[in-house]
Amino acid sequence: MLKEFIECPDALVAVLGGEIDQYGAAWLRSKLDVETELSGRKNLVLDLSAVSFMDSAGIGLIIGRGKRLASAGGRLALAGAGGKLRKILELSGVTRLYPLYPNYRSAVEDMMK
Amino acid sequence: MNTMQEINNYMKTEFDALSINEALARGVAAFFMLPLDPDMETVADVKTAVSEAVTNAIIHGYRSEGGTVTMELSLRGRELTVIVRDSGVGIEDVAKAREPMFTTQPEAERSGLGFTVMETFMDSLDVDSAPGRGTVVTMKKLL
Repeated sequence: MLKEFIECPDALVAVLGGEIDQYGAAWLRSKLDVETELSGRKNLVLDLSAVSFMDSAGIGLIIGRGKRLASAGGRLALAGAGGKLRKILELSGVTRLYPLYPNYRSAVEDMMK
Repeated sequence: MNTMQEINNYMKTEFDALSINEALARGVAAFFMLPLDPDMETVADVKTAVSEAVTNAIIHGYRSEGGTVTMELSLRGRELTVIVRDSGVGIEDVAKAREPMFTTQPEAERSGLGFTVMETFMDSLDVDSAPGRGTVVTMKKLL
């Protein structure tokens, strides 16, 4: 569900994995918010490359983090979402709200510009 | 496994209305389809739709206060039918609930996409519900 956090100069990267549903999203939400605050970073990158399943609870989690970051002057980016997640991400429209990068490194580089 | 042979199969399972059982329900549905050797996308579609239906039963039907969720799976040839049933509070306005982005729990960061996902990922969706009468969600998909 949560594999690791990577602290980059301009963003915190959260590497997620496994299945994200309502059960996992509730825990993940508070973990992401606390770690983002502790890191002192305004921007957050969600690396989804190891996520094997996501339902609309995951979409709620993404939109919620995006709104929270925006209210503090930060940005959210998504990275590495594979074929399994593309359908729900596109259906929900989150890829129009938050940029989707092939991997977290390209997301972090873009945030440094 | 001879997938050319017509498969007619049925199962019914009941479980507590706990979020931890969402994974169990979609896993059972995925295994139930296995003899037909569906492609990865079809399996992912059904798992996602089942997860949405079961989550709705748990957090909306029973308002996260517990209850029993029933899931029935049946195969008739290559058609899969999934029925998810709860005896919870029911839905006052089904048409409104099925609108994309409609949610009664915005503070809980619900996206309001549950029924939209079920509708998009399955071939058909029927929702039978009334206040105090629980909810029955019936979904079909050709595998």
